[in-house]
Parts: sequence; C-alpha cells; structure tokens
Amino acid sequence: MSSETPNEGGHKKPPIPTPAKKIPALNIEKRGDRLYEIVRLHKWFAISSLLLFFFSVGMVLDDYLREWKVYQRDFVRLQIQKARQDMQQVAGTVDRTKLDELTNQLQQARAQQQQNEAAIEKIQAQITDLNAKHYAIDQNYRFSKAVYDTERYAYEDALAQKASNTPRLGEKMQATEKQMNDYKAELDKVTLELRAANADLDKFIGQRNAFQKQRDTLLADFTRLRTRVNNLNPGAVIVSFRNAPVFDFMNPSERINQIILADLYNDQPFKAIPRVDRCTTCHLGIDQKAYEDAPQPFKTHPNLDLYLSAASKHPIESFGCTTCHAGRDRATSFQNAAHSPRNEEQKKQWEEKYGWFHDHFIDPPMLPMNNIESGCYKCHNASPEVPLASHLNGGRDLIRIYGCFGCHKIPGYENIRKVGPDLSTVSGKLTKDWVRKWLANPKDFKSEARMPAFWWNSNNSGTSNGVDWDKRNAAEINAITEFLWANSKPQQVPAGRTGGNVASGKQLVETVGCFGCHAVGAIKEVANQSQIRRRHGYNLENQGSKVSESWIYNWVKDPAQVWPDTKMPSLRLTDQEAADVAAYLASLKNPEWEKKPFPQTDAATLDEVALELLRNNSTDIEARQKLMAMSPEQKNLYVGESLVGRYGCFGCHNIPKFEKAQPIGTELTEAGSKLLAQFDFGFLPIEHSRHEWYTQKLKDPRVFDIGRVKRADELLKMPNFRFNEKDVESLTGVLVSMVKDPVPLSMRDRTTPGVAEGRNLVAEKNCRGCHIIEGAGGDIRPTKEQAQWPPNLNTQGAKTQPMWLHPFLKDPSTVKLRPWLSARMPTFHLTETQAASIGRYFSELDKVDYPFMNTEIDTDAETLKVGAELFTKLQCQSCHPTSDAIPPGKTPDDLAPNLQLSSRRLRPEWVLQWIADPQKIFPGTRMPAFFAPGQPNPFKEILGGDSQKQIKAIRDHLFIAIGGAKQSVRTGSVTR
Amino acid sequence: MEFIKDFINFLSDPKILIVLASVLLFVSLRYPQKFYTNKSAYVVFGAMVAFLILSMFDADFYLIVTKPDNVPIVGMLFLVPFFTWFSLREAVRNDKRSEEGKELIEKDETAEKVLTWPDLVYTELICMVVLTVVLIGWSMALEAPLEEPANPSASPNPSKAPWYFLGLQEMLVYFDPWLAGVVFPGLIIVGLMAIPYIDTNPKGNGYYTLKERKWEIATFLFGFLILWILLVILGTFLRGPNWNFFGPYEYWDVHKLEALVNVNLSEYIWVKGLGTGLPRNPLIREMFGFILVLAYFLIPPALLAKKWFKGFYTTLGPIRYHVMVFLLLCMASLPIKMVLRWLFNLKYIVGIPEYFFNI
Repeated sequence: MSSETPNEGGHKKPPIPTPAKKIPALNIEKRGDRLYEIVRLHKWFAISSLLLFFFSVGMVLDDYLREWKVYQRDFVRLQIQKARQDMQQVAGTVDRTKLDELTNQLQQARAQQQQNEAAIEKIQAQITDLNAKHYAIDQNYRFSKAVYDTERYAYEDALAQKASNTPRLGEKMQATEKQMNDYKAELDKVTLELRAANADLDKFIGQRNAFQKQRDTLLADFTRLRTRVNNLNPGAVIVSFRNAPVFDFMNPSERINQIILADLYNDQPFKAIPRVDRCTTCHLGIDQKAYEDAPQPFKTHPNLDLYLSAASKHPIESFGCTTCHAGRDRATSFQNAAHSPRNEEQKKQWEEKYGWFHDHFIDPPMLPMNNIESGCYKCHNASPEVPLASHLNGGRDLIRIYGCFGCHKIPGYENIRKVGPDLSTVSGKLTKDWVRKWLANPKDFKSEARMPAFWWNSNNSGTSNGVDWDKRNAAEINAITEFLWANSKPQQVPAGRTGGNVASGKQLVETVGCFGCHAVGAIKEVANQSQIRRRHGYNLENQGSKVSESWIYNWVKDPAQVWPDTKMPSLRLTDQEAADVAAYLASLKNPEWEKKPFPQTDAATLDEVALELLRNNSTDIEARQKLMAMSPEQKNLYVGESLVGRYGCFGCHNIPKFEKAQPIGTELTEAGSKLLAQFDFGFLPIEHSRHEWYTQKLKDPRVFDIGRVKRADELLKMPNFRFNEKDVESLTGVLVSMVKDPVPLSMRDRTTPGVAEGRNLVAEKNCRGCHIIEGAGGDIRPTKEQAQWPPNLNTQGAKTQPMWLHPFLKDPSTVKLRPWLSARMPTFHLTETQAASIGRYFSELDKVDYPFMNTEIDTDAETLKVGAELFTKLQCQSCHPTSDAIPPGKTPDDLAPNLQLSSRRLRPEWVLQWIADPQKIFPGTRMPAFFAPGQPNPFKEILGGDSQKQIKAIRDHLFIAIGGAKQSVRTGSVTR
Repeated sequence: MEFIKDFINFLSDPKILIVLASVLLFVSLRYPQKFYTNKSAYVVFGAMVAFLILSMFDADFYLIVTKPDNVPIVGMLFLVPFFTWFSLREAVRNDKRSEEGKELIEKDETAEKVLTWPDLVYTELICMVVLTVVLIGWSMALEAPLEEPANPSASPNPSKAPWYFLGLQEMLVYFDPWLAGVVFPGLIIVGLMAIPYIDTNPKGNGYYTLKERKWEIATFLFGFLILWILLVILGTFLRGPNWNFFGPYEYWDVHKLEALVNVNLSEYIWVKGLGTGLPRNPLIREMFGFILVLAYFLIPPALLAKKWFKGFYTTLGPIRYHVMVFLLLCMASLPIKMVLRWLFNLKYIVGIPEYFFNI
C-alpha cells in the first residue's frame, strides 16, 4: 500500500502530504514497503522463541529439582543396598539340603501330575463352568435381595400410613421374597457342586501344593526381601515416569513426608499455627534401627529408646522433631530448616557444603547439637532438673551455685538463699585490706573464686572517656569497704583453738568428705559436668590469707553457730580434728598476694564519683552544696551505699540497709524467646543470634560497651564471672531453653511435687557431691580409691525403710553403717519436713510405699532352715559382720555393712533384687553375684536349684533369724 | 577512596540531593541544547553505569541495591532519565527545526506509512516473547524476599511502604499524616485531572516541543521527577532503620541516631522572639501560623495575577486561574516546608497536637 491510497474511513482527515524530499525519516523508498526485513524478523522471532522455550524448561526444572529429591533418591539406593545385603545373609542361613529335597519332591509330584493330565483338565473345565454359574446366580440372588429390601420398606411404610395400596405392596414383596429364596436354593446347590469338584481336583494336585507351600515357607524371608528390592527398584523407566514433572501429581515415589502435630504450635503473633514437621523428608532413616552408620541425613536417631519409636516416651507421631529441636518445621531444604552449627568448624564445613548462612529471619533457629538438651525444658520444667539432660542440668547447677537469680528473675530459683556470705558481720571475719584486694579481682586471690569481678573489666580499665579507671576503681572499692565496715555488727563467737597439726589436718580435709563440695585450687581430677558440684562450697585455696585460724576452728566445728543460714553441714569433727583442720587451712597462704598494696582513695576522684551520684537525685548546684557539706568519711559512706545499690551487691550478699532491695538484673523467664531486636549487639562483629549474644555476654558481660562512648554511670554493670568455655556453653543452653512456646497440658512434665521438692533439697545440700543420685553425681570419687567411695544411692527408695532413713538423715552419727569409709555423712541440721521430703523423694522415684510399708516376712520353718544353710555355704559372714564389733583378724577395709541392721533398714523386696544381681543395682560393687542371670545355679540340690526360692530363703533367714523381724501370722489355712 | 565515598554520602543527604537535583533540572531546561544531546546522554548514562558498577564493590551499597525488592527501582533509575532525556532531545530537535523553518520530526515520520503486519504486530509479538523470557529469568534469579512472619508488636525496621508509595512516606517526614497521606495524594489526583481544563495551550499536541511549553514542562517535571521519583529513590536506597538517612555506602545500623531538635513556629515567635511562655489557648498560640498559612494561599494569587501571571489570569479567567494557583501553591508547599525544615528546624507552622491538627 502506498500513501496515495484514497482515505475511505476518516472523512475529515486531510490527505497525507507527500514526503519531504530531503531526508525521509523511514527511508521507505529504499527499503521497499516494509520497515523491517521479514527474514530478520523471523530470525528474531526464532531466537526469542527458543529462548522462551529454554527459559520455560529452566523454570520447570528450577521448581522441580529440589534438594530433598536428591536425598530421597540416595536413600532408596541405600535401602536397596541394605536389602541386598540382608538378602545375601538370609540366603546363607537357608537350609540347603532341605530346600533341595523339597525341590526334588516338588518335581516328582509335577511329573506324577502329568500322567493324569486329561482327568485334571476335565475337572478344571468343570470348575470353570461352575464358577461362572455361581457368579450369575449369586448376582441374581443379591439383586433380588436388594429389591426385596426396598419393597419391604415400602410395604412397612404403607402399612403405617394405612395406605390403600398396602395389600398390593404386600403381595409384590412376597413374590420377590419367593424368587429370592429360589435363587438362594439354587446357589447353595452350585456351591456344593463346586466344592465336590474342587475336592476331586485336590486328589490329583494336593500333594504338589503341599510341597510348594513348604518350600515357600522355607524361603519366606528371602522372598520378602526380594520383593522389597523389586519394589524399591521397579526400573528406571517407571521411577522416572512416576516422578516426572507434571506426572508426579499422581503417585510419585519421591514425596514430602510430613508429621502434622495438631496440638503443638508455632507461636506466631496472634496466631498459633499447628506444627507440620517435614524433617523426615530428608532424614529418612531417623526412626529405623538399620541406619546407625549411614551418612547424614539418613542416620538413625541416637536414642530410639527415648525418642521417635512408638514404644518410647516421645513417639514421632505425637512429638515430631521441631518440638524439641526447634527450627522451621515446614522447611524442606537444609538452609530453610535453620540448622545451627555446633561450632566454628562445623559452620565452615556447612558453608562449603550447603552454602549455609545465618538467617536471622527464622526464629527460633534449630538448637545446635551441643545445646540440644535446651529443647527439653519447655515441657520438663516442673522440677529443678531434667532427667538425663546432664548438660542442661549442669548449666542449671551453675546458676544455683553462682547465684544468677540474685539479680535476674529465673523460674525455678525462687526462695533460694542468697549465694554469698552474710556481710552484716563481715568486720568480725575479715580485714578491710583483704576485702579491698579481693574486690579488685577475686580470681587473683583464688583461681576458682565464684565472686565475679566488678572492677578492672573490659569497660572500666585504663583510661577511657576522661576517666582514670585505676583511681576511680580504687575509690569505689574503698568506699564500699568503708560502708560495709560502718554497718557491720560485731559477732559473739568464742575464741577458737589454735596450734593444731597441719599434716593431720591436711589428711582430714582430703579424706573426711570436704572434697564433696570444696576443692583446693583448680580441680585437677576430672569427674563430670566440669566438676560443678565441687564448686558448691568455696574453694579453699589461700584460705589462710583470708581468715584467721581461730575463725576457721569455730567455723569447721559447727558452721551453723557462726552463721545460722549457712548451707555447710557439720562433719562432727572432734576438737582436736577441728584444730588440725584449722591449722591446715590457715597454712594455705599466699604471702605475695598479702604483700600487695591496695591504692588509697584519691580525694578528687572520690569527689567526682560522689558528685556524679548526688546529681542523680538533685541538680548540679544542690549536689555541689551537699558535697561541700560532707566530711571525707561521709563521702565514703555515701558513695559506698549508692554503689552497693547500683552494682546490686545485695543480690548475693545480705547487706544491712538493703534487706528489701529489688534485684537489678533483666528478667530471664523467657530469655529463649526474647526478640532479636531487643538485644544490643553494639559494634561487635558477631552473628546476630540469641545464642551468640548470650555466649558473648557470659564470656565478657561488658563486651558490648566496646567502641561506645558512655559516661561512667551508663556503662554496662554485669560483673565478669570469668566462666570457662564449657560453663558458658551450659549456661547459654539454659538461657535459650526458657522459651514461651505453648505446650498442651497432656505433654507437660508430670514430675510429682515430692520428687521436685526432693531434687531441690538434693541440689541445695549438694548430696551429689558425694553420692550418685538419679545417675548423676559422686563428684568426690576421683579424689578417693574405689573402696572409699561414698555409697551410690541408686534404688535408695526401694532399698531403705522410711522409718530408718528419717532419723538417720537427721543424725547420721547414730549408726556406723560403713565403718571402713573415711568420709563421713555430715549432719545437715535438717528439719523434720526436710528429712521427710528426702525420704518421700527417694520412695516416689522408685514408686514404692511411703511412709507406711510392710516389714513382716511371710515364710516357714523349712525355708528358714534352708536359708541358714545357704547363709553358711555362701560365707556371707566373711565380709558382713552381724554386730557392731569388728570381727577378729579383719580391718574395716575388708568389711561390708552390718547384717544385723538389715531387717530394720532394708526393704525386704529390695534384698531379693540385690542378692539376685548386685551389679545391676550398684555397678562395681564388691558384693559377689552368686545367682547372676545366665550363670548355673550353684546349689542344684537345694530347693530344686531354684534361684528365686534360694534367694528368698537367704533373705528370710537374714531378716528373721539375724535381724529379728516379725514373721507374718496366718490364721487361715490359705498359704501363698 | 574513603574520601570519595564520604563525599558521595554527603551529597546524598536529602537536603543537598533535592536542591542539587532541582538546580540541575532547571539549569538543563534553561539550556536544553547543551543537555539533551546524544553526547550528554552517553556521558550521563556512562557515568551512571560506572557509578553502579564501581559502587557494587562496597558491601553496604551492594547489600541494599541487590535486595530483590530494590532491583526494579535500580531499573527505574535508568528508565525514567532515559525517557525524560529522549523526549526532551526530540523537543530540542523540533524546536531547532521550527526555528530553521523545517518540518517537524513527527511530520517527517508520519509522512510515510508501513504495514501493520508484519512491521507492527510481528515486532510486538517478539517484544512480548522477550519480555516473558526476561520475567521468567528474573523470577528464577531473584527469590521472593521473604522475611520473618509478620508481627504487629515488632514491626520490621525500617517499615517501608510499597516502592510506589515511598514518595508519600518521604512526605511524612515533613508533614502530618493527614496532609501527607490524605490531602496531598488527593490533590495530586485532582490536580492531574484538572490539567486538561487548566492547560488549554494547544501547542505541543502530537509533537515534541520544549520552547512552546517551557512553563508547563518545567512544572510537571519538577513535580514528577523531584517531588515524586526522587523521593521514591530516596525512600528506597537512602532511608534505613528508623527512617534515618543513610548514605549509599553506609551500613544500615539500627542504633544510628538523629537529633530531634525541630521546633514549631509558635515557639519561635512566643518563646524565642517575644521571650514569653506559650499561651494556653492553642488557637491564640498558633495564631501566627494560621495567619501565615492564610496569607500563603490568599496573597500570592492576587500578587501573581497582577504581575508574573498576568497572562494566565487573562487567558484562563479568574476561576481556572485560582484553581491553578491553588494547586501550584500546594505543590510548592512541599519544597517550601523542606527548606524551612532544613534551614530553621521548623517542625510545624501550625501545631495543635491537641486536635491532631498540624501543618
């Protein structure tokens, strides 16, 4: 078309003017009548279409190729490999000769069958006919029955409505019924014929079928595995078709596995979303025993007895995975699931392998494996400890020992005595000079000091922001010391004995049981959980440089007379022993430290600090006036008091004037759910995660002040405990464990109040320093030979009678049960309630009667006679005395507990278990296992060689003949 | 290197950025033959590309620019200047042609006709396919920028509007929500609808020209480029946590502080000027503000009608003239308030928080 074409449509439009001659814009004359060459357009179209095709394919693949599919494919391979191995193994166990025999017999039977082929075929044809007939009649019968049922209903309905057509309907129904019955009769006839025909056939082929069946049974396991391999590997074509894009909507073999947890929620704002755990999409072998050695993510869960399996306490169907492990439940890729590395090394590995990075949008992330026990606490929070979670419990013990709850509100630590000593009588115990130097850096004096450092930390050392911290710290410490002294009351304690024997004192400290709670210097013997319980009592290092020998004497003689609130029990030391111990402890000195001077207060610095504090409550002018009016002593007292308030010293110590002060720290009740935005990471180049923040905070609480310009009173003030790496890890675990996730009532910890109370007492009195309770403790053990270990209290509830245990706990000196032990069970000055709580705790743990129980023995003369005989034969008395006296020729080290006490002390049922298998109850005990399971009974001729009866006979003899227990009296003739 | 970065950070401060951009816009419109040429386009776009590429080496710049939801704005940074340049270049050419008495470009172009098929439809089809390819590629390359689940009690910081509303959000820095969020957006729409009734100048219909519509184009470009697009860019790339300003090479630190030292006009007059306390009655207290606002909307129209806008007044008639001046004054109020804020830390001209009425 050229521009001369007449314009037909637009009437008013002027005709298009002729093109300008100079430079036509489009230069159509040269190009022909087209702007673009059509071939070039085709080319471009082809290129762009191809691009679109490739991009579309790419899009489908991008959506289709998921990380988890690769894992599922790998897992199928692993399963096939495993099944093939099992197949080979099973093939090896099959009885070859029997198999060959059966195969032969089968062949023979087949050969025989061939002779009667004509007859068999005839019968089989007959059966086919009959089957067809049966099918047809059966269908007729069922259809007529269906018709009959509807007609019956119609008839009944009409009858009830008194309808006019009732009789007609009745007739119709009867007719159908008759027809139905006819069909039924016919069907029965055919069924019988069929049965007869089958019986005929069986005559010819029955034997063969029997052999076949036997052979199948022999190969059942093998066949099952082969089927499994075939199912797993149906061939590449089928697998790729099932899982091909688009086709995979039907029945793919690669699919997302998910566990829907309707009552466990993701606690999102304003919406609790049920958890849907998809972890098993990749962790495919997690709940199957066979994959212990498989590579991740297929590895079996390390503790199937406790988790995942249907019989365990945490079955996977009702608990899922993220309930405990945290992380994003619906994620199906490594990154999105918010896996958390346990250490730097793993982090590096993951970054390389998975391109892992810390994603702070997913909150909370998965718990790293070193703090996995933190996941237990949200449900198991009814008692002070979580059973079996030693790492988490260690952290909770640390909180108890270091007294974090003095400043921070932490659930489970209410109503606990302040951890530090009472400072209302400090002047009678210590010297000012000691206190000053101690405050400057407690770890300088005792390497294991629990008191944290408030001064000369990362944000108050050297000179910063115009403050000379050396001067200021000295002024603050001096002021606090003056304040304490000014408010300290004198104490009425008699002068203690001095001049004891240092060497025997040392021996006493090392043996009598001090090391259950105390240590001298760094703890070298590695027990468990970083020896937390041996930090329960103050470290005894350099004690002589701290307190006087006389003071120590009074203290060790009976700590409660010096400080009624002390947790330290009395070890019932004699005067001489106490004097020896005092002499030894007083000899532990650090002369160099003693010589070190502590700087005097610089008057100008004191004024500065006082002014700064005064300004908090008044204007600058008033503050200056007040300061002018103060004497140097008043300044010291004022500064001291204000600083005790600012630093919160009263959180750990009883300090006069601060009895009712409120703790100064942040509440930690929901520390594990605190929003990330609420943390101040300062200028620290660390990962912005809760875990990392707590770790840094515990390592150096003031680290977030680095690079900040702050006034002295704005600085962070949490003191530095100088925790070691392991402690920091445990404490971080506790902090992140306290989350606010809602847990349904049915899943909460149902620890009874009795057990919870008992655990509290056990922790408060540090029973585990010496004893093993609930599988943890015995920290004193590495300091002693095995023979000297204090008893393991496993099964204590089932073992001792409450009526015996109660007075023993109140005053252990009444019974000398194990005279060979050098360590003494201390006198804790327990109240009745406390002693009863402990008894109840042990009984509830073992689920035995408390406090009333049966101590009568149901036995007869014959049994008692046998018991006496066995007692002699087993030579029980060679170790166990039957009186308090030590048998001649024996040292206490050779002995076992006095058997005379058994009937009053032990529960009769427990003795049976004990004799049957002592190692099971106390691993490593010296008691021989005469009747251990799996061993032949040593006395075949007695009581028919029945171990249980023999054990009962020994127990009965022990309780009645030796212990004088009551024999139960029967009035009737009924016997057991 | 640090010096250059600091200098660019300094230049990006809203005060300087907006002033510089406005000056640049007006200067370029004053001397269009110098600015809207092919050569200048090469220089400017080359410089922009170089700036982008070189800046990518800075971690903080990279982080913000490559955020999946910011990538389209980067595209806009090139597209909008390109179209502005293109149209003005055509306008400059046309103006030159008409000066020389030549035919306009459009006339040249419409003189010849080509076929709808294949020249139009086929090329459209190819464009469609290519665009689809780009969209698919883009969606594969950049994942949806999902963050944590929404939490009304802990909203993200910075909380940003969708990119096309960031201009409005930037206005919130200077005006109360009822003005920046309700009145101004409403006026923008009303004003755009009113343009055909106010701007009756038939010149420029169907062809590019600058000379014949200098006033209209300058007004529009100032409103669109400076008061909208630039604010969107500012809001996207330069406003970080707490809506604080961050230079392109600065780390978006939540803890960065800005001194809040803005003062109301009433305080300037009563406290600083007259040395007395603020009157209790808010109406008396804000008296001066009200007078100023009324004066702003009443006096300039009369003055302008007498002097610079005499022509408009005569051609448009009193009603259309007043509507136009009112809209213009509203538009001008934003830069005026900005300047007042920058120069005098002026918070509100009329500030009655008691009735949530602040101007």
